[in-house]
Amino acid sequence: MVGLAPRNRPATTGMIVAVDPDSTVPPYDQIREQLTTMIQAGVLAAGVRLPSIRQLAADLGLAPNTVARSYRELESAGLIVTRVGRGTTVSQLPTLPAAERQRLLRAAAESYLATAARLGSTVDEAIAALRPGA
Amino acid sequence: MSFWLLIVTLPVAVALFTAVLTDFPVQREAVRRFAERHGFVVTADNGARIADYLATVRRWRSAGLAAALTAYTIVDVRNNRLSVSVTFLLAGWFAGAVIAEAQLAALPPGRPGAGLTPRTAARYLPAAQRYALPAVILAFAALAAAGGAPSGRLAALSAAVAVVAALVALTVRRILLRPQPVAAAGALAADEAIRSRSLHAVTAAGTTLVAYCAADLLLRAVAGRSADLALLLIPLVAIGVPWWGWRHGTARPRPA
Repeated sequence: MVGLAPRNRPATTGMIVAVDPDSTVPPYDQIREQLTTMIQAGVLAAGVRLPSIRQLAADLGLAPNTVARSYRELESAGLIVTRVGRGTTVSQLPTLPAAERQRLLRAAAESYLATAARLGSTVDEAIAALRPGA
Repeated sequence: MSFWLLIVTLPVAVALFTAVLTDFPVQREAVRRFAERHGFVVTADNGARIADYLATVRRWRSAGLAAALTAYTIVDVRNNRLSVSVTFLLAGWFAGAVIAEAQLAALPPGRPGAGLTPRTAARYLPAAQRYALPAVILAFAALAAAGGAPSGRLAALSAAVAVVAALVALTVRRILLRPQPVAAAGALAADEAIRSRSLHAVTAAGTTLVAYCAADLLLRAVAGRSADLALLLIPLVAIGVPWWGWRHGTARPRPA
């Protein structure tokens, strides 16, 4: 068997976007939301190449215009960049200033603690749940 | 037998013969060999799809080959001779391969979703095979510019090269854009292998056809001067490109 050398590029293997046809959220927004989450969470790293509009539309059974709208909005938000001949890739996200990062982290932590309190968990349980493999 | 009777009976006979020859079920061993060459295991999720793929390409490629043989024989009989043209046979096989790709069914819909791995020719084909066709087209253009071939023949060969290049480009695009919804791992592995095999077959056959056209011009350009060189180059191209395509036809798709 002839094997080919893997390219030195961040991987997208196993990552999936799904569209719920019964949802009240329009398909283009579902795609945009999922890709935004993956990019902001770092699951899709900067430089990762995304499938072409036609490929994603064919795989999801949608019109190319629907996927094109998602990509346009992601591009407007600065999350992806499209270059002729090089396809669509994930942009390098700007690094937030330390104070802003702290503020966003605190807001997320408060929201998480509120959820934990609603579930009846103690603070220790909530902190333990944050550890990987918990 | 009159010529017109031959025109009517030969195509029908060849069509029936081809249908009978290719209409038997794909052997389990062929499915296993296909999976082994592409490095995956046959499962309940992919066995039927591989068998369907092998049956479809066998049927259409054989039909193309038989149609080319029939057409060439009819023309030959008309001219009171009998011969075989490898170029014509390959053109028929290539046409059958292109039709087979149009006939192939996409992966059946599974979960409503799609993977994020881009399907590009670079994922399935090594660089040498991706650039072989543009390279032989350039060689053909250079030989055409050098002159030496009668204008009628040059026009026919140029038209053939243009048609083959367009068909390869369209078929490659079709293969890459064939939907691949989310499915079981075994079904996805088979789908990737099928794409890889199809891309290798179509690009190798298209490249060889254009190489034949370039070799035809080369033979005329060097005729009388170094015909031995041309006679050496033509078999090299004719055997080398398909061998190379077959050798690399087993390659697994690259990781994204």
